[in-house]
Amino acid sequence: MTTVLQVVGLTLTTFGVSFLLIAALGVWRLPDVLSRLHALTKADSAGLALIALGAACLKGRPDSLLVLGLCVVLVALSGVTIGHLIARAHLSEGDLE
Amino acid sequence: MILNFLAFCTLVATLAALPRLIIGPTAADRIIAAQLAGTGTVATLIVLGTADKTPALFDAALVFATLAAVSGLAFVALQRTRL
Amino acid sequence: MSLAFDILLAFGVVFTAAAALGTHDRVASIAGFVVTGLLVALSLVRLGAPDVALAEAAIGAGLTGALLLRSAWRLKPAESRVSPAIDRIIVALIAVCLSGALAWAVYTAPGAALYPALVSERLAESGVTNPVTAVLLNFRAWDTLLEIAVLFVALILVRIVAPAHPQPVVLGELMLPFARIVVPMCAFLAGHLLWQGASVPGGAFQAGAILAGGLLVLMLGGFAVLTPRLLSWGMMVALLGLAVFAVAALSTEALTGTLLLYPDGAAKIWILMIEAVLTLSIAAMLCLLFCGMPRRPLNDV
Repeated sequence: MTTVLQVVGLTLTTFGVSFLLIAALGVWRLPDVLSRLHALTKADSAGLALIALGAACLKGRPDSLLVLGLCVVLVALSGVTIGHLIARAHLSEGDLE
Repeated sequence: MILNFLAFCTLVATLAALPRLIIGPTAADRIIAAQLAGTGTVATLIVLGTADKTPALFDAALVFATLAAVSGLAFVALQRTRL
Repeated sequence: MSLAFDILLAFGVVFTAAAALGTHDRVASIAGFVVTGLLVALSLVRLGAPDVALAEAAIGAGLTGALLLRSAWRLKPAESRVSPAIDRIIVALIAVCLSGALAWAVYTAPGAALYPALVSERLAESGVTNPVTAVLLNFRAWDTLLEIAVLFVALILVRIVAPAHPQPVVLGELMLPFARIVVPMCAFLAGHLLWQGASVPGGAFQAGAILAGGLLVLMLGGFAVLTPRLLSWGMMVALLGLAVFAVAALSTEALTGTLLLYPDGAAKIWILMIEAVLTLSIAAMLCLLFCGMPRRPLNDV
């Protein structure tokens, strides 16, 4: 049982980390602000959620599950809000500079 | 061992935001890069904390996650009223 | 592999700091500084100093960025200029001398390994089980009292300079659900860190910084209207920490004959009371640094 959880946890974490790496690549390479925002919000929600889920499997303790869940919710919420605000400001001004 | 490698990868993802932070070109790009580095830091702390015994690393990750948006909010809120 | 992690982290810190200093764009400098703070917090975790890492996380993640952006907002756009070569050589020399002196001090410091043994020997008397809190609020509480005084002096200086209040733009309806989750979370987390500071990493500075972050969200979201009366109350709360700490110091002098030596067996309750007030006071001070102090009309002076 422990080994199954460990394998699942490591797999999930690996997926999450690759999400983060791809998002970093996207923020680096994509051509304009809005597409870069798109890459950022994916990392915030999906990548971190997978990593936290994997970490919870590896840790195997219910109390860490609460902290990890809160981390995921808060980061996703921040990503959504900041993404929306930057995009809105960008559209209404043309350019934020 | 695998966890150490994964922690290394999350750190790489955190640092990979830097080129965008430096080249910009707009201020929004730089804030996006900082935001991504913040998410990367939370992820790194979680991966490090999985291998670690103390709960302090998850607490630090939670602190980062809670305050992740404050700089970005200040940026958007103060942007258009610049003197 | 963790060696590779540490090496990459060390290079990352230096490179980010250099990028923050080297760029001519103000937002890039600020963003670079914020990212440097994130990486420094990670290094502190790797160095086994989770208390400092938590403080760096709480202050570096949210407040420094916001405070710097607020200062940048007041300034005119930066002119790009190149300093004369002689200036840069002088600055480089000063930096090299300073780093050399620091390196020399670190390598020749004899007592660095002395403290853990001394602290753990007397830890049972301190009323708490977290050695960092024991040092900050019991063994060397005097230093912490002076630090709070320094923070208050900084606030007074900002009050004298009297910067303009920032006028944040309306951020829209998405702020409401965001604030509804994040602000209670900040209050909850501040209480959690304050309480657990007695036994594991946490404490008043970290809790205060997080509370200030929550208040900043309220302010930037337009949920708190900054009336002069509210700002005056903020000043009162900011002063309260220093006042309560000073009164506690004098009461311990009266009770036990020594300044800041807590009565036997009651050390924990004293420490928690002082820390709770300090948390509120630090949060108020950090907030006032961002939003500016109450100002009197000119004809009133």
